[in-house]
Amino acid sequence: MSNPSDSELMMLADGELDAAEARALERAAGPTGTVKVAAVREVGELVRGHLELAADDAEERLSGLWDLVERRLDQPQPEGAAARPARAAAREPGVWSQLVRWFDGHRAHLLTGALSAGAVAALAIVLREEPRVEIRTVEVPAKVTPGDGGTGGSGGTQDPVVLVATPPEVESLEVNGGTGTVFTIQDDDGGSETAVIWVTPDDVLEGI
Amino acid sequence: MKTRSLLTTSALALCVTIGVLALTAPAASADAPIACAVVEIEASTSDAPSIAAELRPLEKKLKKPPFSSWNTFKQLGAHEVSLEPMKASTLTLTHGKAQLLLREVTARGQKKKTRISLGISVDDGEGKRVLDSKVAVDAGDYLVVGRSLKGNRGHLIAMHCKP
Repeated sequence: MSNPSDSELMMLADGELDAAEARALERAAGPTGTVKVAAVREVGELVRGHLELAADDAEERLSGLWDLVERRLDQPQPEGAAARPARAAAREPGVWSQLVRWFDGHRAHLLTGALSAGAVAALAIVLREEPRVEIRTVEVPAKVTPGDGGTGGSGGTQDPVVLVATPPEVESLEVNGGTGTVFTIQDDDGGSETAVIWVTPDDVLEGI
Repeated sequence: MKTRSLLTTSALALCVTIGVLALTAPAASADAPIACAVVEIEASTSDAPSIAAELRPLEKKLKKPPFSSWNTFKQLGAHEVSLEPMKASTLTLTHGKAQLLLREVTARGQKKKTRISLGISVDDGEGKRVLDSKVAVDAGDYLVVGRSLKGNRGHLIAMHCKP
């Protein structure tokens, strides 16, 4: 085997060769190679020792840093007021300044709320039904419902708006000392009906 | 966190706005008072048939059966009453008393008349409760409550209400 190269000697010093190769290389290296291998090993020891010392020095600081990171991750997001420095709290601000500060801190919320409220109000106004007062003002002209008993208007030139009538309903009737009768009288126009509740007392012989 | 807070604020504002609108919308007129016109009539039979001039609006109804069994109608009194929901109004009549209670006003769109639900109680001249009833009628339609009196007479309470 010829004289081994420096890289082969470094591999030998680092223990990267198997036993047979290492023995063959040591024989081929001779005294000079052996000195080189020893020198390389010594330098390696020095470098490793230096790095380990540096790591030991930094370990304490790094562990504190990780503890700090973990604490920050575990804590909830601090509120604006709570996150203020202690000296600000020590100043004991007045109610007005606290109010102003609160509004400052919630400006985005207030703006969002105001915009939402405005949008909903606009939608409600656009989509809202016509006010019922219009229903009240529509009346059937007298010429359409003659003899309506007060429900007719004064007859105009416009086409009348005829409202659909619903028969009266007597939901309950309680008569004391007599007999109750319920009937309706159809108006001449056939549209509406007049409900009549009639009581015939027991002591009155004549009924209607 | 901030986005969630903004969404919460927006939802809250939305709810408050809807609530305010629902409470203040003019469509919620169920709480508005209604006006009722009440006429007290005495019906009888006489040799000189007549219907009081004040009763012209009711003339055609009074000439139909069964009211046509009488031929003389006299107005005993007239009342204009403003009824508020669930607040009873008592009317003092010539023959007793009448108590009216506005139970509900229901608007039913632009093609149907507003529906008015009333509670009606009538006492005779001696303070005895004669009738107690709950009635629903269209706004503007007449409702007549009456009873027979001695001497072949009739006591009519005619009313109609409008929002």
